[in-house]
Amino acid sequence: MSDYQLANTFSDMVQIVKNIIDAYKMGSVRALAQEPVQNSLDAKSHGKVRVEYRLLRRETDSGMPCHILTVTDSGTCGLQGPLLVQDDLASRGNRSSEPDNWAAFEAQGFTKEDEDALGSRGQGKAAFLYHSVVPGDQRRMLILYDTKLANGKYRLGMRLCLPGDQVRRPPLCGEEALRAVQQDRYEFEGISIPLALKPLQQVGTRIIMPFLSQDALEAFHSGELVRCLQRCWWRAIQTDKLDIQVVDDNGESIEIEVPYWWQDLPRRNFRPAHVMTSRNGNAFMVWENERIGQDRLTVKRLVLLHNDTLKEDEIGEDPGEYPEYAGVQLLRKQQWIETIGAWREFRDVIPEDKQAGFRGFVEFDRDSDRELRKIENSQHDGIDGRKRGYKRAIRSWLRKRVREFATQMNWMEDEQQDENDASELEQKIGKRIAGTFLVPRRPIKTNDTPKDQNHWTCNLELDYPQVGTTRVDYGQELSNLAVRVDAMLGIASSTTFDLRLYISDSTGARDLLEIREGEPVSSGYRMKFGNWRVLQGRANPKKMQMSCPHPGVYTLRAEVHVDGTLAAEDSRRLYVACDPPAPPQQKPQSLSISVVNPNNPDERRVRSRSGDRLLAQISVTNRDVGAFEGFVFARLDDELLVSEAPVSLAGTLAGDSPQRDAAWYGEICLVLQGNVGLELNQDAKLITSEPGRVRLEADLYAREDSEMHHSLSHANKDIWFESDPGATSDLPFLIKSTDKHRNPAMWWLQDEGDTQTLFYRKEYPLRAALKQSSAQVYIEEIVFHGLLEWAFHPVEHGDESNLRQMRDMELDGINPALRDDYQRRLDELGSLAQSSSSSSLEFSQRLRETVALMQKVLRERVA
Amino acid sequence: MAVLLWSERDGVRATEVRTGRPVRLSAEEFRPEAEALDPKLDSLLDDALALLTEEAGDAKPTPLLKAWVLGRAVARSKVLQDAALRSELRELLWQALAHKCWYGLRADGSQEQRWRLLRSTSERRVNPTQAATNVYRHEDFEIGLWLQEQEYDDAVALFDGMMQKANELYRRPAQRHVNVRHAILDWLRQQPTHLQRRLMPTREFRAIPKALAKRFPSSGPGSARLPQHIEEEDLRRIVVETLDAQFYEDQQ
Repeated sequence: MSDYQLANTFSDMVQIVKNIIDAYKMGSVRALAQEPVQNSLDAKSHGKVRVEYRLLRRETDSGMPCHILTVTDSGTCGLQGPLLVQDDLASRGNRSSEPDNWAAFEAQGFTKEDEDALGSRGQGKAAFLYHSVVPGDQRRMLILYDTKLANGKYRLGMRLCLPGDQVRRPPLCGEEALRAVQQDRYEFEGISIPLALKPLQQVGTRIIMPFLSQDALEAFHSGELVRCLQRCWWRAIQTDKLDIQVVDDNGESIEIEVPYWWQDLPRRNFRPAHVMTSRNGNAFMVWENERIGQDRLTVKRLVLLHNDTLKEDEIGEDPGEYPEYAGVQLLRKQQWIETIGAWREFRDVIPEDKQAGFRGFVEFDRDSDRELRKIENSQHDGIDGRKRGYKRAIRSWLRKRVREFATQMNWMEDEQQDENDASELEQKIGKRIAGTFLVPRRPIKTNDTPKDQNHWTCNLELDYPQVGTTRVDYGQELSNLAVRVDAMLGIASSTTFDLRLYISDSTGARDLLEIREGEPVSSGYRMKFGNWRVLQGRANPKKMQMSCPHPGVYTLRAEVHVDGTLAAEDSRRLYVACDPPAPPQQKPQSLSISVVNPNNPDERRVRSRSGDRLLAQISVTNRDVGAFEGFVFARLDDELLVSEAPVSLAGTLAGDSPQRDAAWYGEICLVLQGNVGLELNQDAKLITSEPGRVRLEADLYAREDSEMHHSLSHANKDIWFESDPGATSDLPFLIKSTDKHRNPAMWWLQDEGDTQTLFYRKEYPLRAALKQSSAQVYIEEIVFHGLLEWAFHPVEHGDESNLRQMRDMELDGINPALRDDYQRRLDELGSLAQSSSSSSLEFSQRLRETVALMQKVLRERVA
Repeated sequence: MAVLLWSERDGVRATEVRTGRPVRLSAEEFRPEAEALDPKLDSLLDDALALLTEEAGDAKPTPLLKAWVLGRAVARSKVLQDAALRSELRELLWQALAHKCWYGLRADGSQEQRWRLLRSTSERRVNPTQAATNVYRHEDFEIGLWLQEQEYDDAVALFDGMMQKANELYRRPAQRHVNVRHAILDWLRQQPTHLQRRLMPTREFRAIPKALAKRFPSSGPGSARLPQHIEEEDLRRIVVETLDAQFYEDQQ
């Protein structure tokens, strides 16, 4: 037998209740409007649930006036079930089952087995206790609850927080309970409770708050409670699942009604994507059964509505912060959870004078409701945006639909008329930037590479002194430094080359370490340079020493020069006396897809006529320190393109350029139905398709995931087959200036279906302050930011296609050190974008530095 | 190529040519080709009507049967492979068929009232003065074409003859391949009666495509591999494993 006992610790229930209710964004009245009704709906037995809020005037024993609030439900099964004690609940794993309503109501914080339940145990009781404070110096909370069960039993329970949490055991039962509720006063623990209530006539539960708080009383009299009840429950009322009645202390009753603008809501969507007009003049659009969030959520219905006669109807002082009707109400199980606000989320598409009359709601199917329940906060007044990405998916889908609605309502007309296509200056800037940052250094390798040209490659090999990182401390050596040079020589080949080894810092200043002459041989040429020591002070290259005077990033570069021109190069980074950025913990592997139509290789958007041969390459990047073995699966439209193409990559040292390799390279040929029989390269993949956008999709899996359960990265690329992708630009997006757009930002990149557009405000204060001659710099800055956003947005999902396009650009005629720095920053940004541990602040900081560098690169190119 | 859209207003019949191809002045340039296609569409609808009579007998045809017979008739007619429809969107064909069903007009202008039997039941909700295209959503034709990849009896067994249930599966592009339907039907047939009964309502049946969407999402990570890229036997095994996990773990 043990020599100790477990004892319950004291908990301050008054403070716990206060903490729970204070967390409601809209305040304690929303808790009072939401939680009791939620409890009643969870206890529904048959038919419609009816809830009555009744205010009664009474007096305290000292003759002071006080008010009782009772919340009575019917159509429920009441607080049924046995009177369990702590041990009984513990033996059930602290979960109550359906018939244990009484025990669960008396307990605190126990979960219910029914996953469909609206509430989680504990919030409801807190809502009642918070508003029922016993008069006196000490803050005490008291509620009573009586229930009539289907078997005729009657019980009356009491809960008192002193501040310890206490319930009366056993509760009053049968005649004793009936007598107690009818008594003028009931004495309990020295408190004289005014009651004089009629016993319950129907099966159900009544919660009695004998000393109603001043806040709740004011909310009752001012109508705030009624308004809150309407906001929370109008949809359940509309679908005949619920009735709520509010009776004041004069006996006047108000039935909670569906807001008048939703009263003639259409039941079905007869004309999708069209604005319809209801009987009372509301313009509305309905969408039904749409799947969002990578198919994980199903929107059962979205209704957007506008009527100029609707006035703003918000309880909260700051509807921009926490809107109620002014936006799209997100409902779960017909209960209002939160509102995606019109002002905050849609002000760029809904004109200011239309926002007051704009309303909407979205509801989900049952499975999605369950999913959303998992990420809902315990106050049921918000969903957690960080979890599962649902909130983001909902927001982004809603934005598209609200935009459609705005377009149909002609709200976008002014804005669209105000949108100016790229001016000559903007086109010129776009061309120059695209020509600098988006022209690939090496075209995708092709079997048609001319045979009369030399093709040189060089690889710089070395061992870093520390394991798993490119960090080098002063006095340490880079060992086994060697350069391998390979050449595919054409007819008019040169026989000798110069190999130069440089060390450069991030400003571009570089020192020549060594220069050697060599001759290409068919098996490749490997020059050994031995071990080099890194010093802070003066260094003598003849003694194999290199000087890195300041701690920071340096680049060791090997260049092959043939006949005085640069033929090949390679570089490695050193983080001298400083740590390189850590590799990403999440998604260290990513995919990129490149597709080129050799008939129009410079086009940003890939277009194909029937029978065109397109070159495609799917590459994998590994940023992890460990090696990676995996395979790639890809399809074009519905046709299988690549089945389990193996890929094997060495690990990447922290700070080094990530390891990258092509998992698949090949030719694809899209043809129209009946257009087969074309003469094609034997290896070309022939795919029949209808005209339109055809998508190449690829997934990367780890080798051990042979069942392909978990895609590590996903990338896609659109090909426009026998169709026009719309307006095109040298850049991957169009540039438009605007002023009437409601987005107040300096610039923004907007997805417009098949195209992306970079909008900027002409009258943005900074732009307005600049002289016309300075406009160029302003636009360049915006375009750089836009380019980086375009490149990094898909990286979040492991798609590096756009990033690779920027990283592998030609940058011909640019100081190599500058180019190395630019590529290093893109690599680092790539790691940050894929790392959950990095902060967005750090990412923004690096982004600004990269923009500054891009400005520098462009200046040098122009010069 | 182009199609003819028939219409009739106040007893006056008219045809309009529609095409998705570039035109110099108007789509009328393609009228000869459209008129050449029209009798083929008549045969197609006759075939669909014969199939409808054969399958439904004296019973009232269900929307699923109507969609299936139209799909099967389109597939049998090979009209989609016709040179006439090369480089055209299928939508045009559906428009032409919807108009012919609605007005019951043959290529020679004669009436064929029985084609109206092929119209979707939703016509009751449509104002008669509205265009014929409202009678059919183009998706109904697409679903029909998809449904007919299975024999009618199998489609009825899988979806309990309910168009709504067919829709649940169809609206997930990654699960449209016929092998998925075969695999689900096989799985369903092996289930105890109480589970089969439980899955009868559409809202419960929806759990099947939803569970499979985790293995075969239509977009995003994991969407590159489609069911048609997997051997039929492997696909059956995956479907069984996924659905067993869904419905038997739920019960536990």
